[in-house]
Amino acid sequence: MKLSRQQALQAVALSLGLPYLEMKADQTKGQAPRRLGAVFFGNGVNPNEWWAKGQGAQMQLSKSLSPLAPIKDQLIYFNGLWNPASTKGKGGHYPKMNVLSGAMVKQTTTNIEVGTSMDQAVAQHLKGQTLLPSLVLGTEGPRYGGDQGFSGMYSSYISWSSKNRPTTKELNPRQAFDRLFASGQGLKKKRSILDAVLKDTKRLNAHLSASDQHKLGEFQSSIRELELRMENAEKLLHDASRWKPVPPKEMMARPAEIKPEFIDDYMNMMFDIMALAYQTDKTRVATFMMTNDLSNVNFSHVPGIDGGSHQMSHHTNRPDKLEMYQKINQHMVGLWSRFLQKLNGIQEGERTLLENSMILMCSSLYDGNAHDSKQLPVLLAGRGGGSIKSGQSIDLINKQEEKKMCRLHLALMQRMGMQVGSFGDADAPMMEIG
Amino acid sequence: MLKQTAVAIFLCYPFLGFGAVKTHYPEKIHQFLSKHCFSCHGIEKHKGDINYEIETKREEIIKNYRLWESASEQIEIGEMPPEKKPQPTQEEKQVFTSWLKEVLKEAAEKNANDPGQVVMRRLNRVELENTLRDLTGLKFDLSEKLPSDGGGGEGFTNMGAALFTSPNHLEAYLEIFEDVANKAAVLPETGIQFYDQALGERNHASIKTEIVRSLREKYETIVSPLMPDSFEDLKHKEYITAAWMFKNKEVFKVKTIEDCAKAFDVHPIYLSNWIKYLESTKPVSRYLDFERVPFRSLPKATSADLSKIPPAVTKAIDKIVEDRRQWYKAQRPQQDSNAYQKYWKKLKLKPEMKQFTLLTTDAGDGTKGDVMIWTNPKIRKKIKQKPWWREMPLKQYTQECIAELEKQPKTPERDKYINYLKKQVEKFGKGILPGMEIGPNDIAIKGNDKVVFPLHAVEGWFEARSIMWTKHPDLKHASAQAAMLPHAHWGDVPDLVPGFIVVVDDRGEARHGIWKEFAPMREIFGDEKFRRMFKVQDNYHQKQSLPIVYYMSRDQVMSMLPQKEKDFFEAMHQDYELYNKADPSHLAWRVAKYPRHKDGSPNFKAYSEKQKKDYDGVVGWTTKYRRQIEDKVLQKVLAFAEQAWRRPLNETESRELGEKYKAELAKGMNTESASRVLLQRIFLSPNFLYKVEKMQSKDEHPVSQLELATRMSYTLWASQPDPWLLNLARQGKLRDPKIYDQQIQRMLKDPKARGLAEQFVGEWLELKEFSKFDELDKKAYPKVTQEIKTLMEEESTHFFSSLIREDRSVLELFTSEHTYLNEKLAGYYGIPNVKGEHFRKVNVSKHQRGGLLGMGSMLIKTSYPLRTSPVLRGTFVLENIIGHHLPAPPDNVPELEQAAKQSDKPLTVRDMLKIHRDNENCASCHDKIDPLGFALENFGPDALWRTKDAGGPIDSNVTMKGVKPFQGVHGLKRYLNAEQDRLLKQICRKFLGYALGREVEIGDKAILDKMMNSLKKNQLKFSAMVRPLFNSKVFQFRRGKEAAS
Repeated sequence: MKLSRQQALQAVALSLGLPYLEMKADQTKGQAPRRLGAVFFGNGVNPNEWWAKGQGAQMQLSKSLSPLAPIKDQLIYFNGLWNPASTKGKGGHYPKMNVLSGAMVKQTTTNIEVGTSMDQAVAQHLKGQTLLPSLVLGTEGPRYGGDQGFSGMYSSYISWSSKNRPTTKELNPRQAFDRLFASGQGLKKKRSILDAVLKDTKRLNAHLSASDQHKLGEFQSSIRELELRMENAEKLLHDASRWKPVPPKEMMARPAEIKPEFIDDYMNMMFDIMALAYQTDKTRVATFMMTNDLSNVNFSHVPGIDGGSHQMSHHTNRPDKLEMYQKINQHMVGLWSRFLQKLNGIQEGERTLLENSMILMCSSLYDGNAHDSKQLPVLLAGRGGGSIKSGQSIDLINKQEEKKMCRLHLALMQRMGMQVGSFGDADAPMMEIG
Repeated sequence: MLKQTAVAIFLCYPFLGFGAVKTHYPEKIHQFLSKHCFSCHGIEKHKGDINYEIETKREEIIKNYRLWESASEQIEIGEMPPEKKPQPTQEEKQVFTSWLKEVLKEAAEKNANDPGQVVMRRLNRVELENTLRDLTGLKFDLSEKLPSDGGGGEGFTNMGAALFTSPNHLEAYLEIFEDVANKAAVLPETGIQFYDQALGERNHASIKTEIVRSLREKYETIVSPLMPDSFEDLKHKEYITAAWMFKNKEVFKVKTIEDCAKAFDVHPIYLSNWIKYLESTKPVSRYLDFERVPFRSLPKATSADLSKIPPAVTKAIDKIVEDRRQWYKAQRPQQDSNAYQKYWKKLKLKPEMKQFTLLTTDAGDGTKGDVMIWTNPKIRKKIKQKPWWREMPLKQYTQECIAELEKQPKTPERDKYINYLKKQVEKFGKGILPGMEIGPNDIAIKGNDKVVFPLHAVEGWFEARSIMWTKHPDLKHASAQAAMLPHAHWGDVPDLVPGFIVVVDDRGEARHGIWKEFAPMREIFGDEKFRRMFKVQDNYHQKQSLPIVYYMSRDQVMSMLPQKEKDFFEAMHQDYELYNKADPSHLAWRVAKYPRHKDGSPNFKAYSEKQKKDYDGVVGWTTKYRRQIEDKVLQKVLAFAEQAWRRPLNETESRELGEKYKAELAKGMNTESASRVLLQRIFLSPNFLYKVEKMQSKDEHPVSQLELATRMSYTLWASQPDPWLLNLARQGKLRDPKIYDQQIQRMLKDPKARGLAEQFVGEWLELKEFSKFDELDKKAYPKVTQEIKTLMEEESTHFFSSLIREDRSVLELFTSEHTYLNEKLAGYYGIPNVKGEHFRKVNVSKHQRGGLLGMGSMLIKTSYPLRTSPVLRGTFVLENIIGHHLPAPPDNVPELEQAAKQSDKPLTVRDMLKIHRDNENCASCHDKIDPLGFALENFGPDALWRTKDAGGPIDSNVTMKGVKPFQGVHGLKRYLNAEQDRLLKQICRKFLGYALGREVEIGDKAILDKMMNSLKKNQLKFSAMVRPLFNSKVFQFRRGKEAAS
């Protein structure tokens, strides 16, 4: 196998015991930074129509992936990736909600626990470089019920700030939009209030039990985070050495207070906000759950779809249901593709925004009917600022170690400048992507 | 129970090595385990991370009871050992499970009354909305603003561990609380009042204006409904007669003004005003004497019988009333009257009138300068042919009359009359003073003079214009009325004729005298409602000195208010007082005429001693009042903080809030803006956002009374404790058993218990915010509109909250024959005779509904977008209602399609499910699930009743192992009723989990038993479940040390 320049560099760095990633990071100075994204949809895919074959221009796409044809040169299709821990827990859904961490989903309704997700690890690493460490979007709130001894919250989060704490998801487009532009400076006048409240917190702490102190710690660290954000906003404003994003030709209008009623509009709007966040460099890390797992989202406006997503995933191999299931998959891929094409239309120097990005798309199940997580539907779009060899399908299904999804996560984390050698259950990054 | 298996898996057993391990199980148990369990859950294999082959003592088994509890259950229901493996005999099973039961019993006893681990709970979104509602009186919907809360424990969103706080939360909070604070008006006496709209930054002047506005509005709201509007409403006759009755109270044998008011159905306050006015001699006014003088000279009453009022009295009163009516008409034009203006005059003529009179009164101040000219006086008479009207100058008409009279037989009277008339005719066209010229048909009449004109069966009008002769040398002394009377007036000309404006030269001297006497009448008898209301509204800053009749003084208004409102109204006035006295404009006014620099600032150097003293004086007292405002406002904010934080502030906290307030003031903010900063700070504090419970001891200890109050109110209201509850806690009286019980009962009956219905029942049955449920296919079911879904949600909430507030049987949730409907929703369900918007209780048993099982919310929620799902519905009934926990479905659902293909007819949902159940793997659960769902098959995915599906008839027959077959929703209700014990256990578990914000633990068995017994002893009343729990240690205590996890 021919080594790419990347791999060669890495090999050299490792052999010299140098933090090769720093070298990697140096490459981006003066250039547009890399962006990381993860997009999720619930309930898995119709396996018959989820595939890609061949490389480059010869790459063939299945029906469900067909909307990606316009950007297939920037696409990687993975066959066989999985998170081994997802098959250990009980139940068909909740134990699989570890897509971005590969960690074990703890069976509990109280002290929920998975693992820090790769996007949040990157966000913490990049903290301070942009206004927001990350943007975490969704369209559906958490369930309050649960099942099989699992809290219903698991199905609603892919991003986890720590193993015990899901990253709060923004559901309202206006709130998300405002966060990009109002956050930071707008908070300045509240500084004295935050300081005063922090004092309350300290005083209270002395009287609390350890677990309550831990709870209050969340509050405390959130305040600190906001204060940091304020300082950071100020700093970024005056940082001349910072890469200057190209302002959008046409600014997106501020969304209405109430989210759009039509589901496609809603999802597109969230994608647009994600694009805007990248484009204006308000954040370099974003995730979007198009739906939660177990969602029964109903795209009944699409011809041929007559039922909810979760319902159709239990197709019991009936052809009519399989077809609807496939159409649901294809529709969501279509919405994702629209977003990717939008990114690809934004020029940042020599490259487009999509070329500077690494946007993952995945679900927590393969065939939903079988609650199968022994492999997952995973796609990656973008060239990571030239660090990714895209336009290929990578088949790892028969490679026990290589098919760990955390290897992909690790590879992406390193490309975002993190100097780590392991993540989750992976001790080495995936080399196949470039 | 399987829920707890969940946890078991994570009890990590770090036994990775191999080799025999000595266990401490009793021998028979060890035998059982090694024969049936260890091969999978032992040292070599530990499937599901479960390993029983360990060195374990009884205490450890007890500690890890969850693991064993699940083992017991799995074996009992035959789930384990797997079917492929050799099965234990009944006896073996018996030995094992009874041993385990005993161990578990011990575990339960050992843990009994353990309060469990309750992690500090943040107010969830709904609790925050409700708390803000109770603090501000405003409604909040924060669903689009706050990140959603997840659930945990027994499936509720009030569990501490699952309530996270993130920077996003804080950003949202900052925005929300700024918004709330901007709606606050903060005043020294009325304190903090919240408005619907943001008030914005307000300075002293705008606050003062707003105080005035709200005071006037308050007067308006209270008095306007009682203020008469039309002339008839004024009931002059009744009031004057009632006043006369009171004057003769001995004769009528009554004591009070109220008695008299009652007799004439008039308002006692106005009557007392009338009496005061009628008996007054001040202010001096000839206009008022039209009333006061005749009233005082009314004859005395002769009989206590109100139907026998002397005619002389009635007649005199009628005259008073008529005069008053005339004055009302004149009041308005009088304001703009002046000598140079011509006034239209019109008198209606009727055929029976023989004469009419034109007069010039001197308005009581002498005739100096008083001459009035009637220009173009004419008679318009109706005639019987075209053009239907005949018009002629008065002069000509009078001449015609004279001619007519002359045709009549001669008598001395006739001659005298003709002579008089002829003399009058000559007055036309003649000036009566030197230099005075008038038109040929005009006539001038001097002060205190009159002319009588004849009429000859005229139906029509006398019309003219009157004007004062303004060239009179004494014009400045002139004041007169040009009046008309519809009859001959031969006697003296009166000083005034009611209803005619008095004309004066508006630069002359006479006007002062007129206005002095006219103005009080206008004040006392406002001629329109709004003028009368103005007088009342002016009470905010001044006392009225005149005896106004249709009016209520501040004291009179206060006398009508209940104490609480009275105090508030009083406080509003005090706010005005303070803001008025501290008004910086006083100083501006004062120094306006004192020496100033070019830029307008005071030039103190040029001030005289007196001016300096004056300046200092004004500064001194305005500052004094400003400080009073500052101090009082701070006190109000601190009191608000105590309500918001659900406890008294300690010294440090009060001091710090005070310092912050002073710091904001020092930045130049006014008291209100500074208070708003404080409000935001109070809201953002963890003392507000979290239900803080302090560790008071390392050992298990009762929560403080204030913390107990908070536990109670957030359980029963999903909101903060109200001042009543908080005060009891503060006084240390809440744990008094009698008071405690009274409070529980009171709170359950309070409308705020709706919070319990929404949060507890709503989340337990997964119907909360049903209106946002959006999975049903809109094209297929267009009738299920947003409005209908909202009404369905209201139906559920209404039902649940009525059940709680009326303290009915908890089983009614499922077995009731009633539901709550309004016209629209009833129409949707096809239930007749429900009219109107409001929800009311309706017996719907004939329509197959009643209780949860007939509710649109539940039926739609458990359907797929395009069809019903007996599986979802069955699972709902089995898990949520009966409380049976199902194991997870296997990973691979068998292929039903193959089976379906072999069938020669299209399969219904029921048929398909039958094939499904034919598979043994599926049957173990679906035999229990599906039939329960079939019972509800007559309800479509849109919750409407149906008898057919996919062309075939609905089969709602239910056959289950060990259960007598039943049919449909009624059968299901009876079945549930028979399963009472399980239902009660489920509701108690759920309520416990909800109230404590944690999972149900093994030690809770004791309290759960107590709750169930209490229910059974008290006709299953809802409160019978609440009271034992609230009185338990579990609810009232907290753990000391940290729980071992």
